[in-house]
Amino acid sequence: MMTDRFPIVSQTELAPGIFQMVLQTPQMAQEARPGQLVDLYCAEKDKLLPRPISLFDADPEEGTLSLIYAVVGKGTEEFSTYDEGDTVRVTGPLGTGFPLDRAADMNEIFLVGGGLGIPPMFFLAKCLHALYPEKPIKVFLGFRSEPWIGDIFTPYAEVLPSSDDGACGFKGTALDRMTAYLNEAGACARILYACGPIPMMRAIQPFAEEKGIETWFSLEERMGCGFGACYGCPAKLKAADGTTVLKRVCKDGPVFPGKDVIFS
Amino acid sequence: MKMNLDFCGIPMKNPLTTASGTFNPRAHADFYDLSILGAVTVKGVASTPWDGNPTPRIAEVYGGMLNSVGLQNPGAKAWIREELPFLQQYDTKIIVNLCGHTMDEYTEVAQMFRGVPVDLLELNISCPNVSAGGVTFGTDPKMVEKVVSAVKKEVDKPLIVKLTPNVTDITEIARAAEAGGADALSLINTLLGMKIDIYRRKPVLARSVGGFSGPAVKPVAVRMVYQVSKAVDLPIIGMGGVMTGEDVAEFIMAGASMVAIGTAALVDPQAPVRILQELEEFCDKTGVKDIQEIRGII
Ligand SMILES: Cc1cc2nc3c(=O)[nH]c(=O)nc-3n(C[C@H](O)[C@H](O)[C@H](O)COP(=O)(O)OP(=O)(O)OC[C@H]3O[C@@H](n4cnc5c(N)ncnc54)[C@H](O)[C@@H]3O)c2cc1C
Ligand SMILES: Cc1cc2nc3c(=O)[nH]c(=O)nc-3n(C[C@H](O)[C@H](O)[C@H](O)COP(=O)(O)O)c2cc1C
Repeated sequence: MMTDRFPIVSQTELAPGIFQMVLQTPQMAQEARPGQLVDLYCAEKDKLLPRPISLFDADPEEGTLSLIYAVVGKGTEEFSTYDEGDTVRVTGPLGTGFPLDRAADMNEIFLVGGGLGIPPMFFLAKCLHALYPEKPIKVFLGFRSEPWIGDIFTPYAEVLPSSDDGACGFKGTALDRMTAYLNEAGACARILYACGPIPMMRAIQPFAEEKGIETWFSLEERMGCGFGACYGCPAKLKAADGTTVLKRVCKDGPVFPGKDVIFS
Repeated sequence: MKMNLDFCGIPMKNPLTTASGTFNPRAHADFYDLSILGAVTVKGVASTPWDGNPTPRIAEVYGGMLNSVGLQNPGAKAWIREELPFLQQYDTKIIVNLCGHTMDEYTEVAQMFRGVPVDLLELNISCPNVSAGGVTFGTDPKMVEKVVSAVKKEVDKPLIVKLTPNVTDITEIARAAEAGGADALSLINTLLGMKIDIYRRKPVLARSVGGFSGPAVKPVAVRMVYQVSKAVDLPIIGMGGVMTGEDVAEFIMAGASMVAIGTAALVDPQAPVRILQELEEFCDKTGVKDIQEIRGII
C-alpha cells in the first residue's frame, strides 16, 4: 500500500461519460487483488477528499492499473480532463478484495455486476479463471439500457446481460436473468460475487439464501479518508453471536459476506 | 536545531502530534513510521462502545470537510486490550482522547485509564450532555469547570482539556477549564457546519449538521489559540486546518507549545512526514535554533 503521484498511460472514453484510465503504478499492480480499490485525488484544492474507484484490471508485467469511472460530479469531471502523461495522486491498493479461495469447492461461479459495479467483476473473472480454469463462470451484467462493456469478459466467463428497457439481452434486472438461468439449470454448489447498486444486492440476499448460494457483496459508502483512519464509511454487519458490528468499507471491506450485510 | 520540548512534564521529541479522530494507528502505520511524532493522539474513547451516527457521515466542502462520525469507538476496555499494544511498539508518547455523555461516563472512562501505560489524557468536552438536554458540555463555563474537576480527581496523568470553538468567548471556557484543574488545553475542535444537496433538497449528512475541519478553519483556530494563550497560564496544543510546516510555525507563534495535524492526515496519509520536514526547513530558513523560542511571540 502506498500513496504517490503516478503517470497516466492512457485515458479512453468507452461510452458517453464513462472513462477508462490506465495508470503506470508498478508496485500497486503487483499487490493488486480483485475487489480492491484505489483513492484518486483531485489536483484542485477545493476538492480535498479522495474519490474511491475499484480496480478494473491490473497487469503486473506492464506495471499498470486500469480503472473505469463515470463522470458524476466535480471530481470525476476533473479526472476526465486528464491526458496521457499527466500525473494523478493515488493511494492504494485498499481493502481486502474478493475471497477467491471460497470458490475452490464450488461447481459454478456467479458474478453479478450492476452499472458501475461491473468493472471490478472483470478483474475478478480474470483471476478466478486463472485459478480455476475448469470451473464455469457466469457473469450477469445489468445495464440501464445500451451495454458499454461485455465482450472483454468472454475469454474468462459466459456473459448473460440484461437491461431495464430490453435494449440489450434479457429485459429486466441481473437478478431476473439469474432466476431465469437457475430455472433451467440443475442443482450444484454455487458461489456468487456481486457489486452494484444497493437495491440489487438487497434483492440478491434473500434470493441466494433461499437457493443456498454463498454470496460476497462489494459495498459502497461515502468515504472520508478512504484508507481506514476516519470511520466515515461504516458497514453494518451481523456478527456470529447475533450482535451488530460496524466495519470500515474502505479498509475492512469493501467486500463482505453477503449473508451478514445489514442494509439500512 | 532543537525541536524537543517538555509538555506537562512529559518529554516530547518534537511539537507534532495527531488530532484525535483523524488518526488511526494501524491505518497510518502503513504509510509512515509513527515514531517520527512527538506524540500520537488517538480517537475519542468512552467507557462503553459507541456505534456513532448513521451515514452519510462525511461531506466535502470548500476548504475542508464535515464529519458526523459521532465518536464511534470500541470502548476503553477493548481499546486498552487491542489498540494500546500496537501503539506501544513505537517510540512516541501516547495521548488518549476521552469522551462521555454524562458526568458519570466521563469519570468512569477516566478511572479506566488509571495505571494504564499511556502518557497524557485529553478530555473532549465537545460531547452533548445527555442528562442536561443534550447541550454541549464545553459551551457552558460552569459545566466545564465541574466536569474537568471531577475528571481531574480520577486521573493519574496530566489532563489536557480540548475546547470546542462553538462558543461566544473561548477565553471564558479556557479559564473555567484552568479553574477545574486542567494541566493543558487543546483547541480547536471542529466548528459546527452544514451542507445542503440543493438538487435533492436535503442535507448531505444523515445527521444534518457536522463538524467542519480542514484548511478553511485555520484563521479561526489561530485566533483562538492566540486569545487563550494570553488568557491562561497553561500549555496549549494548537490545531485546526494545519496543512504545512509553516502552519505549525504560525500556531506556535500564536502561543501553542505543540500542534496537532488533523484533516491533513486524512487527505494525505503521509502528511506528518512532510509537515515535520517543512517545519525544519522553516526553522533553518529563518534562523530558529529552538522551536520554543518562537512560542507566543505575537
Ligand atoms: C468502494 C467504492 C468503489 C467505487 N468504485 C467506482 C468505480 O469503479 N467506478 C466509478 O465510476 N465509481 C466508483 N465509485 C463511486 C465514486 O467514488 C464516486 O462516483 C465519486 O467519488 C464521485 O466523485 P465526484 O467528485 O465526481 O462527485 P461529487 O458528488 O461531486 O463528490 C462529492 C463527494 O462525495 C463523494 N461521493 C460522491 N458519490 C459517491 C459514491 N457513490 N460513493 C462514494 N463517495 C461518493 C466523493 O468522493 C466526494 O468526496 C466507488 C465508490 C466506492 C465507495
Ligand atoms: C473525522 C474526524 C473525527 C474527529 N474525531 C474527534 C474525536 O474523536 N475527538 C476529538 O476531540 N476531536 C475529534 N475531531 C476533531 C479533530 O481532532 C480536530 O480538533 C479538528 O478536526 C480540527 O483540526 P483539523 O482542521 O486539522 O482537522 C475529529 C475530526 C475529524 C475530521
